[in-house]
Amino acid sequence: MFHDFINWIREDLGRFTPDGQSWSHQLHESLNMWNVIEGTHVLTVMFFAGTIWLIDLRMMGVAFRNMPFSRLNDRVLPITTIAFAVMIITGLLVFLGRDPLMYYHNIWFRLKMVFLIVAAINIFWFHQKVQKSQAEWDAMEKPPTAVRLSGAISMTCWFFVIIFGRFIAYDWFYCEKTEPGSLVYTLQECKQALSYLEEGAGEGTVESGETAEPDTSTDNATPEGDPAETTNPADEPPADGAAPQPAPGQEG
Amino acid sequence: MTFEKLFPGAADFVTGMPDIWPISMLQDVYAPFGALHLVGLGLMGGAVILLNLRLMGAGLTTEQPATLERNLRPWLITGLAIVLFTGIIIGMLNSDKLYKSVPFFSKMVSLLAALIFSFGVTSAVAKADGKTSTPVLIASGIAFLLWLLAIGVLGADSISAPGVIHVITAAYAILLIYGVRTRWLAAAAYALFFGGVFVMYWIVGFNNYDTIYETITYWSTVAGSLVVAALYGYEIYAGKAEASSPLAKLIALFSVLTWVTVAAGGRWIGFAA
Repeated sequence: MFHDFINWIREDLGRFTPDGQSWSHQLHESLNMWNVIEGTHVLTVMFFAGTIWLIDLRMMGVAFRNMPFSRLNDRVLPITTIAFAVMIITGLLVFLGRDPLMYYHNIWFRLKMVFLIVAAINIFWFHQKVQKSQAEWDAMEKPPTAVRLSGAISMTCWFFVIIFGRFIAYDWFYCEKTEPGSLVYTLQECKQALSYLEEGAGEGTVESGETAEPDTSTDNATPEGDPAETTNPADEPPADGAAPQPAPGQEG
Repeated sequence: MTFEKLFPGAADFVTGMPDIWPISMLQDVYAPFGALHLVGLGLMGGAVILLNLRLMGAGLTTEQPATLERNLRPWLITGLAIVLFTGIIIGMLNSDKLYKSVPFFSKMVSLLAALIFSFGVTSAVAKADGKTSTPVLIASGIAFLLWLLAIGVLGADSISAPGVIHVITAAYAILLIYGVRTRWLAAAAYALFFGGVFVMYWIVGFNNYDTIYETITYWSTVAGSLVVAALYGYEIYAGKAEASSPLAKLIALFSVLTWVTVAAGGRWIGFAA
């Protein structure tokens, strides 16, 4: 649906001269900038998920039962909000610099986005409906069902956002490896992704010979030149999707 | 420094680790362990941050540190159990690479320091409602020296050195939350030193490898570190009349930074391999 727009981000955003490179390609080829941004994105999990889960656990009546919800929420939520803002900013830059098209046609990335949307709807529901009666359940050890449900949804959503975010690094379902016509193939819009590669739409980004290569362990839309020269080798996903070898750098 | 250099005789044992049962059966389910490792880190991170911020006089200040420690302890232990369980499996599957990895060595030394801080120091300080005792100070000193070693090892390696920026960033982030007097100064300093580097690369090209820009980045990082240290110094000195002693505040700060170093080391294992 957004393929052309994402491709524009990848190829043209920030490219001011015909010979220049887009910001996406520049970041991809940067010495340390992308790594620092991605590292910051992952580390912000400590600040964000950790704090929001403790609020969720209070809503579920599992933790901090002796403390009114408002007291915990009012003090912790600002920290969570700051961490969330940093996560979004760094997340957008990671998306920009690691090959937006790879992300866009990746089932794990799409699932991550689905859970992000569900989390956002849950936040909206909580603030618009559930929180209106906060005075009634604020000090309850076990809040009403709606509150506990909202907490559980939030906790589950962020759990899967982290899990699926981590799975993006694995190439199990890269379009080149996916059976045409299969559910994952359709959900990832692989036909569009592969036709793009075959047409060489990303001139100068993927050598025509590379698109026919069965081994897609390297980035399928690597910026100019040899991927090995332009990216951190350790940054690549594991080579074999069917039986993933442990890749370094998964230790987070 | 790596474990290979420290224990060269263990090479055969380390290389054979992935073949040891039941680790050998886990090759195909490696990815979920890697993902769960992050989940554990998150859960543990929340508990570490809230307790240490409280000891510094920020966050959940309405609660007594001892009460907060009691409330957070189950989640700290649960998160740590997940991190250690998944980490051991990931480590054994990657044993050969980790054996030769500088960031992994840094991570392990920092992990030891972090465990001392969390279970030997901050829990005791919290239970005493912010007061420090001699055994606690000795344990803090040992943990602090271990952390210095970890950060030194990470920073001295040319490939993983940028990982130190995460620790400095965390120090600024904590100052934004905790710094009553220096909050906006910290925000401005971070924007100048690190935002400035980002903007510089944005202008000259993120893939510009000219050494002059690397030098500017290096000195910006050094300046950023000195400024954040000075701001903490002032903040803690000016707040010495508050409930927690200046020493307890420093302990709490280094406890968080030590855990951040553990995480940063882990992330840079991949980048530096």
